[in-house]
Amino acid sequence: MRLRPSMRENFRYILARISPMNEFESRDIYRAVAESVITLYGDDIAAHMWPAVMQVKGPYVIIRCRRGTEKKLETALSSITSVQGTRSALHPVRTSGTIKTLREIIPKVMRNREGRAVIAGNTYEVIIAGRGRIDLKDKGIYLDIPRYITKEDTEDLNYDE
Amino acid sequence: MQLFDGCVIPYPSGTVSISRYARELRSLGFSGCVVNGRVPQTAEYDIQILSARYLIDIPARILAREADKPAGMNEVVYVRAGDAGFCRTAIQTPGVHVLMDIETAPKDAFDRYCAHLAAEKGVGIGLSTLPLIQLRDVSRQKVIRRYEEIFTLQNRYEFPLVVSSHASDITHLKSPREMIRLFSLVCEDEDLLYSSMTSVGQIKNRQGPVREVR
Repeated sequence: MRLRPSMRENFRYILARISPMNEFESRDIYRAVAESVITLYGDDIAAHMWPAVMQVKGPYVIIRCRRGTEKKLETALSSITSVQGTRSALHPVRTSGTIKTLREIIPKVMRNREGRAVIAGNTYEVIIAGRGRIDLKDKGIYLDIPRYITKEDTEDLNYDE
Repeated sequence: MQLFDGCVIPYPSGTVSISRYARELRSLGFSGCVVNGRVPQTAEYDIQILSARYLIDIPARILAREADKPAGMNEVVYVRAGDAGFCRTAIQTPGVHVLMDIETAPKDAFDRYCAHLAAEKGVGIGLSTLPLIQLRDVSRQKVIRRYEEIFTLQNRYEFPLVVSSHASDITHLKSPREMIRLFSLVCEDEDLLYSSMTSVGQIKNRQGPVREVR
């Protein structure tokens, strides 16, 4: 149904950051958001809220909702604990009336690099993100060290070419 | 305004190192946090770190002795809530700063007498976002109801609140804005929630009555 511009819905757009820096498809994020909204507020509010994933760019996602429901959507985003079975959190960063504003906030360069880190004399495969954040790969076999560390926690750090 | 995450649990109980917590919390907008356990004195972090002694399943009769042990630098004492008698004893015990995990305590454990005592002694009551995000259905409804009761009592007696993420994993961390949104399920007063994130320093540096030291 095509509506006149004056009859169109007013939307709000929320920029959220996925933590840790995993990348997902938009439908996986939509499922997680919808599940969170429904468990927290029920079908009534979920239908009224009308959430939709507009864009996914690396660890950033732009989610749309009806105007007036953005605070409830932020609460629902905060209560997400997993996306597609992977432990993840969505941190709402900013709310805006246009997608353009939010696109300008998303950092231009977001490159994770793979490498090897030496911790307590052992070498581990790691993902190195910005500002010295290091995530160990394949949790489960490393019970004697923390999984999420920083550059300062390592003895040596080598980047893969 | 110094915003503190009231409690995070680092490795080995959690999966995150203290320095990573500091970096993540700084990027989320906090200026400090309370870490459950010992913090290396020599290390430097991105934000101010306080260490907490978290007393769990301590009998009430030895609580005073445990809480009064010589505290390290920047150390606060947290006690997990128990039944009503234990809560009253814990709040009146010198050296106890915050009563945590009220949502897991029996139903009438924290009553108006406890609220009155907490306000009088300046003991903080810990509220965590973790049960709000981890639990579902009836369990979460129970926690929301319990938190509503605590906010009602707080409105009447004005005891300090300490809001925390109680994170043991990186996905449990929440920004101040997210904490306010999550607690908006039970409390609309954003100013109160903001002040709950700054209360740890005041509770730690509270001025109690003069005590004899041996």
